[in-house]
Amino acid sequence: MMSKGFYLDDIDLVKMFIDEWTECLEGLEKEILKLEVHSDDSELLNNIFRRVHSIKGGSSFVGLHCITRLSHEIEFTLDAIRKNRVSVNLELIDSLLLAIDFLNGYIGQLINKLEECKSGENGTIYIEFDDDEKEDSILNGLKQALIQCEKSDKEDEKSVEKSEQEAALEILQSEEFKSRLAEGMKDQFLVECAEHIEKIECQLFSVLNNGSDDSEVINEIFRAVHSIKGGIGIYLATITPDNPDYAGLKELSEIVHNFESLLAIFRDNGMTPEKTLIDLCYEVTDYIKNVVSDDASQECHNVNAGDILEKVNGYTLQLQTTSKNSTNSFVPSVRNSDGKISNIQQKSAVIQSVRVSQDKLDKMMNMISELLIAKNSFMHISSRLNLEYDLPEMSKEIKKVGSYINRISDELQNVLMSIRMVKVKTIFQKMPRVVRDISQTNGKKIELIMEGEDTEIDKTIIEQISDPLVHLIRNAADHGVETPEERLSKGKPECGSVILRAYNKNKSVYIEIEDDGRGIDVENVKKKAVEKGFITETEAGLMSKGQLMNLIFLPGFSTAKQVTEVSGRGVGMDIVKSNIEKINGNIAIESEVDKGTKFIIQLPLTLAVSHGLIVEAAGETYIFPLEYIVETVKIPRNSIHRFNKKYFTHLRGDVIGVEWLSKIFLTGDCETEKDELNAVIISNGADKYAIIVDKLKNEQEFVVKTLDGHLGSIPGISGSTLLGNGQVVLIVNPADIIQLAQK
Amino acid sequence: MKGKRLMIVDDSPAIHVIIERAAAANGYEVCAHAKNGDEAVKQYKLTMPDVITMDITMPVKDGLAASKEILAENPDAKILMLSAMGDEEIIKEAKDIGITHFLKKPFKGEEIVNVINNMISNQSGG
Repeated sequence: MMSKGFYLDDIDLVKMFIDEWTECLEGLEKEILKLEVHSDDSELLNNIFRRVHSIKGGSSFVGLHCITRLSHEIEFTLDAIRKNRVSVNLELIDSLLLAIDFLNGYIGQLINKLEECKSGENGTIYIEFDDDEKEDSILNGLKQALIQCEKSDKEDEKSVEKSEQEAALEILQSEEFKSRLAEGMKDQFLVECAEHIEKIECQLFSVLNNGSDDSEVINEIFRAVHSIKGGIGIYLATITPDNPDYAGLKELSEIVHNFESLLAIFRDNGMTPEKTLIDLCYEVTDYIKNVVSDDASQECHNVNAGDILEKVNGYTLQLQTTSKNSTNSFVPSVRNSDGKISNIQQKSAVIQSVRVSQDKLDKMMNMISELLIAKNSFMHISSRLNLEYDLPEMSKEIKKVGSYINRISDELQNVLMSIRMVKVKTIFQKMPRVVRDISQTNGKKIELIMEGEDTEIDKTIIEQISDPLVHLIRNAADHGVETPEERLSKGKPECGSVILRAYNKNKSVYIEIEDDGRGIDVENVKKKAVEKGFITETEAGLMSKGQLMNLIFLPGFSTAKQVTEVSGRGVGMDIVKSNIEKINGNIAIESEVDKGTKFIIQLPLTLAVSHGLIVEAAGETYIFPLEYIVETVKIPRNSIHRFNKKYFTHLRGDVIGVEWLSKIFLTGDCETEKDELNAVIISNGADKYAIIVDKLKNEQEFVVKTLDGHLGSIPGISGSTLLGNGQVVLIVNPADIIQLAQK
Repeated sequence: MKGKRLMIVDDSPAIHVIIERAAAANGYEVCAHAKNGDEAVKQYKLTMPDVITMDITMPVKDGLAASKEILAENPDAKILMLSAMGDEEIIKEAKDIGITHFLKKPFKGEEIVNVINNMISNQSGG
């Protein structure tokens, strides 16, 4: 056996390689699928070969032997195809795809682990993969498939499939390592099956929702069913007939196979999915799920396999007789499905697109940001020409050019932003599974309603928001929604609902997670917070409902009575909040006991450029990000009251705290002569605070430059930026400011 | 080996980094980078490096074809071919067209520098 772990000593190099590999692997799956039909396309083969080869070469440099070995075997198989030593068949493609998936998995693990050990930037890190045995089984699958292809060359298509399966069984049955293989294969199979079923359900859902007659739907379902079949085949090949799973899987294999043939008829004749097919689809997926989940719990399964098989076959026969194209055989005809490939080509002809690495886009965004800063200096020069040099004509002209460039750069920024936009659908899609898992393990009935999936948001933000969202959804399903009995006793419908909603409002994207469950009990929160020593009893007494609610975001706070497997380890909400704040977002809670809880996440459309208000306090210039500003007002000096060393005032019926920015930053005394004070009212979602500054200046776009090192952790400051005249100003972090002001 | 000029041909940027680090530490100047055979031929004509490290499997034009063209341009060009496991047949072909130096991936920085040193001292010796 190979060694289980690896020491990587040059992290930067490894990162470079990983970037290369991800690029190499991207779209490889699709290319390999093309091989099904175009196994003689040498250019296609060379392309695939080269990609795998370069992964092999690279991984050998950094000593990742498992990746080298895996890619070598894939390359070897590809070479055999290239040299025409084997004829490509479905099993071979399947095992290639499996191997590629696995390679992808390795690299994914690698990326995760590298992220985990950020601390020792350039030190040595130790990486351990835990899939050794699975890799062995996949490699064996690949080798077997290759051997089968060599043998069955030039044989009749129908018998090929049979003899292959039998031969594979014979060879593998004699092997000793079979039981070890089986375990690895089983896990893999179960996981994949679940994924494919999810894919099928997702497609079915879209058909039901939009009544779409897109041929791609059938293709997608076909592919998923095909993969499931492949998975069953491989797993079957690794177990003996006396294995308890064997009989059930054999049945399943037959059903899936016939169902695939049925789908092939639909696909090849370009028929639109009709109700009978969809019903059947659901039945088959339910059956698969049944077998697979029974499988997982090691139970026997005697669901009406015969019935379903009969239905599938009956429907197939009916179609075959009615189908005009009677030449279509019963055998799944992937090999002669030219229609599929031409379909894909047609599609790509309609939407012309270029795949660009995110790196390039980031670079471009950076440059446009610089342009925005540079452009601001036009306005600055223009005003200087007017005021200092007394050249009003010149000033006007420069101003004109400036606003022209302004317009162009605005447009440029908008276009680039739209390029970076991704639909939130990409992360919403994960959620049904999350909710389903929880409802199944807890015996709850939960309906997940998703709205506004087409809302777009910057890609980097999407990546950052995914984990917090999963967490919130889990919380809603796990802690929020009650058990059916509890709900019924409260007079609520048995089935709870979780709503995931995204929408645009005022240059921000809002994502809401709403449940109709038990809600957050403020009294409970208060008790817990006092118990855990976050606040004192007297402090608690003075806090508003909103403030109390926000306590759940404190590190180490959890009100769940019982820590469950899925959520509630007491580390959740503070991380959710800090992750959201990292991307300049904001999270607020609305909750009522027994009515439900709503989390509202406000996110900026993009991270790169923000709008802010420039202010002056004690001779220093600062920028307040606009997202946090509620309004700016003038407060008469005599309406500011002082109590217990704190200042406050009345504003539109509310009592809000008042503090001087210069006091918070300890930069000097506040001006005292004025009768009216300029105040910026900021909010962190729960509290409002009036921050007094000397001057309110203009609103401006700014680009955040983060501060490094010891400057990075100054409370109240989130970064710096450049003004048009080259002056460096500090960006205020309003959430921090409110905390500082309250102290 | 002060001042000797090196061209790196490889489609993997990370390999460029590995070679360049080792070469630069030993006084070589990396005068050209190419990421495929086509670029290699063009860059060769422009920069005329003393030594070329040539990857085999690359997009657009592979290392073998590029080496052929470079050798046609200058039969004395010093090409070090970097092969991987499984490239045995190509090595045979490469020997046929007159390439004499090979190094198998993965290599360490000092290994490739040693080979390049040898290639250069052979030239000055003979």
